[in-house]
Amino acid sequence: MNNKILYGLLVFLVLGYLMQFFLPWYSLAFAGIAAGYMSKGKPAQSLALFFLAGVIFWGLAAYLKDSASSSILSARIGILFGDQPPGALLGLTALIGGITGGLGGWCGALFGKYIRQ
Amino acid sequence: MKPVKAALAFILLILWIYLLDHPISFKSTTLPAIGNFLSPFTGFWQNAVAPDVRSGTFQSGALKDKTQVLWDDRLVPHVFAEDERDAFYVSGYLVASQRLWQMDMLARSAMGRLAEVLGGERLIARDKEQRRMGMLFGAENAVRGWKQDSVHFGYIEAYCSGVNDYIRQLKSRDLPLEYKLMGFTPEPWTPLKTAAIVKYMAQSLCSREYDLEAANTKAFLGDSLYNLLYPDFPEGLSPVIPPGTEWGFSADTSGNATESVLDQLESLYLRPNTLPPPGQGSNNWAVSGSRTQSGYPILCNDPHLRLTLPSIWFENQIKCPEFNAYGVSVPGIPGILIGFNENIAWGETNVGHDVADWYRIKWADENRDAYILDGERIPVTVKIEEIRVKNAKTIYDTVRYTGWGPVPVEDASSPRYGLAYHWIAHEIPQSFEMLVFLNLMKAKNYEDYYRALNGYKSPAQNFVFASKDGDIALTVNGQLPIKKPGQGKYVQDGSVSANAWQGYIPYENNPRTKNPARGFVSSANQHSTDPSYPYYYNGDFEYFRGRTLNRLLTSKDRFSGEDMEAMQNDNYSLKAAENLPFMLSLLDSTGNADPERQMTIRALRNWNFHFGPDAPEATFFNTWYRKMYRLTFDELYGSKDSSQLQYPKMYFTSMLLKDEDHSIFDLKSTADLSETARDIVNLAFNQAWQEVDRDPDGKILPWSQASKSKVQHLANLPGFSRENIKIGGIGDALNAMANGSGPSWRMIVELGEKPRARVIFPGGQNGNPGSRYYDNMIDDWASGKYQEAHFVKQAEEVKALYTQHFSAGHE
Repeated sequence: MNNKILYGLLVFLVLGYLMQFFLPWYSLAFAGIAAGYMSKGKPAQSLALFFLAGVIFWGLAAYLKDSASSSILSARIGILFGDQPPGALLGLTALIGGITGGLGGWCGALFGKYIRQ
Repeated sequence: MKPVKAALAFILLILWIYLLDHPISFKSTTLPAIGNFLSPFTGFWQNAVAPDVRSGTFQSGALKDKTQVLWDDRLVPHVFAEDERDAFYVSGYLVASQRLWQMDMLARSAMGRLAEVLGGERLIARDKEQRRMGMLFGAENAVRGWKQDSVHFGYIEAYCSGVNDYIRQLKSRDLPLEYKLMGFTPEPWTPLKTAAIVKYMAQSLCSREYDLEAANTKAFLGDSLYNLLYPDFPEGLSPVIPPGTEWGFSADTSGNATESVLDQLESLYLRPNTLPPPGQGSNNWAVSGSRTQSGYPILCNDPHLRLTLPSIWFENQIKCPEFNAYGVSVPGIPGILIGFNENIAWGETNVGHDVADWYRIKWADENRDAYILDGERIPVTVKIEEIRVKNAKTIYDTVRYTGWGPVPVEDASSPRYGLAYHWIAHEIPQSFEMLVFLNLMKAKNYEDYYRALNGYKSPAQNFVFASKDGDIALTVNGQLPIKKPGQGKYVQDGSVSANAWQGYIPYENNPRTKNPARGFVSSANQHSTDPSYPYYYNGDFEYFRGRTLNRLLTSKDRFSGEDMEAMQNDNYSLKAAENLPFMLSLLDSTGNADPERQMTIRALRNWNFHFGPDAPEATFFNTWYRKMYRLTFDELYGSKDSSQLQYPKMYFTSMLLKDEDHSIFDLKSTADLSETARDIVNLAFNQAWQEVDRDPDGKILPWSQASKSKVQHLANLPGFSRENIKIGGIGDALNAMANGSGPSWRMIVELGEKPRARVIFPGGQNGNPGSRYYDNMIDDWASGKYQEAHFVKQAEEVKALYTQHFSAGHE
């Protein structure tokens, strides 16, 4: 893993973590844009990278909350969402985190390329 | 290319965010904005790990002094306040921290403000109905009355401030889960919302009347059959106040009410409102120390209300210089409604008197801006109800108010007439109605109890009482209208002022009993008195539980706390005991020779009439009885207007069965045959045999599987309710599980040196479905177990899980 990627991930996670305390859920996309812009990677690469980062970020955050609460609530919400197991909710959460982060990173990388050309 | 590509990517991102940031409607369901809802930082995952209580220090300008709150291992808060008013502020704060969404929904439901946050045609119709029935009007009048007592109105305001300070500090990620799901946010709490919840309780408990159905049924069945099946005082009752009680006063009973005005009508009366579901009754009793094993008086109460999650009750202890009380509150209403202190205990059951009457009014002309009363033209008051609707235009609905009350339905096909609704809970109370509970929280003896109850308006309750110094008592309490004999059973003529209630029974003449010779007092929603009570009353009463209870309370000399537990959980059905032997004796033996039928009949013969969770006999009897009931009253069920008729109490079936050839048993569908009770019982048995709930192997299901008892989430959200609970009971048993209602709080208090209370309710303290305290008591409750209430004198005695300190000042 090269430094650019590490740098981008760091920006994404730190910004993403901080912003989500004060801003709406989609601030994850802002973190993606900033990280995608700053990491100067290729757009497709950024899309994949921040998708994965978003999956892990939201997935892990949700997983920690789920296990800390013994899945009491995720089991109920799962039933509410058409008898889904808690794991499906975790997966969906991670996927949304991934797409939001990935789209953000992709936009950031494209903006960067355009501005820097 | 590049700017286009970047712009496209950005548009895609915006679309994605937009899609996930808005609720999605699919058929009849609406999904919440999924991005926010699933975010681990703002969505439901936050509720999964939300602490049950946030420990810490809190300051408010609304407080005068310090208050400490200790939450015990059952998540019951113990409030230690230095100032009485502060205690109300803190109570509001605490209950909001556990039940905010529930309070909000109860108030919105009562005030007709659900469509505003949830939308939808069904809720618009419901809101309209609530407004047109005067629910908001009643709540507004209540606040008007409460304001006359500025001191206690100040307590309500303190309670509201507590709720509002809690709301103010809430961050959107901390909102109760249901707000996130339904996509709205809490608004400030007001005394009007508290009043709305008081009206919600009144609607559940004292709006049940059959005036329209009774008028229809009387015309339909004819006077003689109607009078036989719907008497005011049937034989064999065991009323709340022991028969033979000397009243010591008389009442003017001259004159009769004007009869039903049905004969003037072209068609049946159609009910414009939804009646509360039946089964909202309760049991309470107190046994004197001379009849308990410990020698201390014991008081028991189990109110049967609609069983919901979050639970209707919130358990708490409040101590301040003026009192130290423990018990349950209804979220949104300050004070402890059922509970005890160091000296006394109290509880309630519903009284059931008819305090809601319909009057047929004659409009002065087709404009309907005036009606005729005693030949005079009286203008109506117009109230324009503003019903806001989510994502749609506000609806303005005009409701005409007569002196009798609102006119909920204006029937275009009958332009000259309307029906006005007169309900006690619309009237302006003289003081804060909930003052009765504050005074009970402070009461030390019978005299205090007697004074406390004065001035209480509605819903009328049987207030049971026991004191450490040895008194037991029960008062049928609330404002009870003085009626002429027969008044209020049917629709009355609203063009004659003499048809109004003749005032209220003076407080001192309300039915009451103190230390009766039998050593106990009790009530279970049955008639308040025998027919010797000087005032006329009618209403909706229970006919089985009261008799079972009084029989049990005379069945032995001395009772223990465990005996009381067994009684509250008693599944014995007097209805089964009174009907089944007749039904079995009329059963045709030749037609039921099949070995399986024989086995079921044998089991029924040996059955002890207990609706235990494992009893298939209960399942079969219940099906068989229901079929028999429907066939017996096929005149009513078979009518095209069956939904507008009144149905006889199940009490009467066993009496009818004694008269095998009674014409009521003749089926209307078989003109050439003349059926008897024997035919009906056998036909019902055959139908039940076909239709009874069975398992895949054909075995009749045990009762708990057939009855499918549940405790349902307030908004009926799948996954948030507890279903298929293994519990016995039936509406006519003391363990009155029926129609989604049941024992919503079981309390047994022994008034020794230090009061000892065993308690349980079907739910938990915390309204958050992610909390382990959401439904943690249901299993114990279902199996008849109790938990010890930690009533303490000092804060040091509480083993606290969480501690909160409230003090005066600004955060």
